[in-house]
Amino acid sequence: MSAFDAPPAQPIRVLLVDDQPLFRTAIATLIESQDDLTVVGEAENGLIGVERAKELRPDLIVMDVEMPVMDGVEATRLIHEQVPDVKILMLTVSESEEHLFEAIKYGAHGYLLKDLRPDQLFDMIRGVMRGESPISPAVAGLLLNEFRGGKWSRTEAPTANAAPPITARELEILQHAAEGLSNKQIARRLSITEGTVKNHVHNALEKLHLDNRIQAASYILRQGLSRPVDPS
Amino acid sequence: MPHKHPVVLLYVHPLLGQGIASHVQAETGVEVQAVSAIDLPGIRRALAGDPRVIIFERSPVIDILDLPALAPHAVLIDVTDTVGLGPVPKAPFVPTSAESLLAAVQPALAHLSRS
Repeated sequence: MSAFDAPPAQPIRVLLVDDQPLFRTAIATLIESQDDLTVVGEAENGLIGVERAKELRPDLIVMDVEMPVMDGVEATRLIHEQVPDVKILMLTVSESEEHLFEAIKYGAHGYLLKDLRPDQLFDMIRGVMRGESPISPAVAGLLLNEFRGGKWSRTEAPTANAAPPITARELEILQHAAEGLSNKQIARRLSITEGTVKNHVHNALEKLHLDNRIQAASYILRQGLSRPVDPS
Repeated sequence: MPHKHPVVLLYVHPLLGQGIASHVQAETGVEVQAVSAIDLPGIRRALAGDPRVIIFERSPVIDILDLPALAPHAVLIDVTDTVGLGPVPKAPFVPTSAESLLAAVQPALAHLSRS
């Protein structure tokens, strides 16, 4: 196990925001079964979620999308503005393109559907804390299709010839990230350490004024900077 | 037949099913048998044990089964709406919280311990 895989000294502090009490109880029970995860609070709608986020300062919020009073997308926007260090992982039944794109635009670090297995959710919470941006395969397809031929690509002028303000190595790593590879997988592919990958991703995001890997993937696709398809 | 698993949980969403199973088990001390709600042979095996409580999410398989006939002594608890898919209850009882779920489960188990 590398230093990057070691469990954190303090458990990851999770806030649950979902309007279904029984679902919150189910998720809380599962999360509390893990030594490195703990639930510090719950909220029944986005508005209370924003207040709890400011009050409790969790490491990560598991956020539903469709809720009364204030939905999870708006709550994500407000939390990202007011408590920017908190990671937000959307967990929803909604496969709506609008919800997906808005959540990402407003700062969500991942977008998952509720058909996950518990071990997958645990891995993805840990992944977000390592800087990864998990997306359920069903909605990842929507994202890629939209950028390939959807309204975003039709309304934005191609800028493939404009040099991005990042180094060639940072670009190469973002290209791999845009293909859905984790830091560990990129490190293996490029024969460098996972820490080096993490540093490059962090630096590239700062230079590009982006918040997370999903936005970086969007940037790579929109700018026409994807790696050419390997003929092998 | 002895009630090896007096509580059966038929789930579509593993997060919900395994989470509720763990919660009910922790609160009642009774082992909960969780079975995928699309695993017809698994469901038939679970129901053959004459459970006292069936907590379930609706699925195409559940929809074609006559749960009251297959498990005549069971309290049926529909948790389909819990993941936010809309109210489509097939059972007379639809819990809105962990407390109301346990309030429905525990009397059925108490009756079991007396029988």
